[in-house]
Amino acid sequence: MLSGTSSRRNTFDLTQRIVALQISVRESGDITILDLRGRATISDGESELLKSKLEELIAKGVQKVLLNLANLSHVDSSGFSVIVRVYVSLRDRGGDLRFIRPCGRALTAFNVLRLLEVIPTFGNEDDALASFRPKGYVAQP
Amino acid sequence: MTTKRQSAHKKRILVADDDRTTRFGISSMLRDSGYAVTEATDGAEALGKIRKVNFALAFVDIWMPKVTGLEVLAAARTLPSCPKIVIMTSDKTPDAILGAVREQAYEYLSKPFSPKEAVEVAERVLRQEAPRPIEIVSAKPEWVELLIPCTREAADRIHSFLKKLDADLPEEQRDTIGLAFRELLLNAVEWGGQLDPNRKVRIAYVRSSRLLLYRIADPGTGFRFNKLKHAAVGQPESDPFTHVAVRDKMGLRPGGFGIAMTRAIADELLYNQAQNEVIFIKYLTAHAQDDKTSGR
Repeated sequence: MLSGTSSRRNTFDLTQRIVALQISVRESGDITILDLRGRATISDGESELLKSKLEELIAKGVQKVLLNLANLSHVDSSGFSVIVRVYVSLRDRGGDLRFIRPCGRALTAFNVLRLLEVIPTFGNEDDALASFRPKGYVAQP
Repeated sequence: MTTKRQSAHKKRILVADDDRTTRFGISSMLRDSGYAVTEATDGAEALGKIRKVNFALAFVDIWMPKVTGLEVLAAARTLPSCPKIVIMTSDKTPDAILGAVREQAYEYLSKPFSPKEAVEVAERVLRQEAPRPIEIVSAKPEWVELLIPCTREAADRIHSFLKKLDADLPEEQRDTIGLAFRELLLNAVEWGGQLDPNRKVRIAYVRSSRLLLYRIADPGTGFRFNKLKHAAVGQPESDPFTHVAVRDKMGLRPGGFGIAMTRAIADELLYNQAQNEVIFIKYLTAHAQDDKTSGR
């Protein structure tokens, strides 16, 4: 028999943590920005959702993609695979993929694979957008 | 949206917590999402309602007066129709976590959580089929050993439970260990067990003051690294992304970084000869020294 008192404190995390993946797409000139919020994992098909969205954009001829990973909470092997696949595909077509730096658990996972050393990554959107401009106007990461 | 709401409307959910604020918060969010919600203020009332009403899901707090959440879980399991039960608590002790595993809780929701998270958990749990049981071989905090069916759902459930046993570790270390364990476990159920729910993966979690060890044995025939053209670990360092195109050609789901990630995280990663069993070791030297210093 377990016994004890009820826990009455801190029931709700009011930061409104999002679990499933939400993707918002916007544009800045010829650069397509995807704001990712939530997790990019295999569990509930989030990685497939991300894959579909990116494939749809590439099929429309998008060449320059900026993935905003600042609000990505989790990523696993499947999420990395989708991102790498798009990175390779865009580079093959003369395009490019860049990141706005992840944080928390997602950053830990990216660091494990050292992916941020391969794909250009920036601390904020202004620097990331500037990096797509012709040389001479490139902000330092 | 209409279809989802209509479908959700048919699902009955019980929310049992003696704390009014918690009960009201979760219930309101679930009602707003279209579910039919019943509330219970203690364990005895919860059990009485579970006996009378065919709930699809129940959120049950562990520490309630009269009858605890784990006792509700144990009693409900003996009924002909038992709802999926999500245990809620801020109690992160191994006894509470392992008690929930032992009594076949569907998920363990640690307080604090966002009300939206409760809705997302409900949606996810209700989408999934009735879970196959997880067999408990050992449920000591320092030695947990389980047999789980070869499904992604079971892997995610066990991952959600076991990672909470490491609550005392530094957050980054806990996250990387959890990441590695999940990848190894998904490999075991998908590749070793072919996602066949009738087959089992055996998991051992061993924790000492100086190390954390996972042993995962799958029912498959094993593999060879030099045959893994569809995985990052099988590629030359100069071209680590070749496998992504290979996976596309093979029609495989996105993935292939699991072993590479696990290798980077583990202090030791050992496979048996057939390579259908793996041992993951993480040394906790600094952590153990901290404990010693603090007299733990």
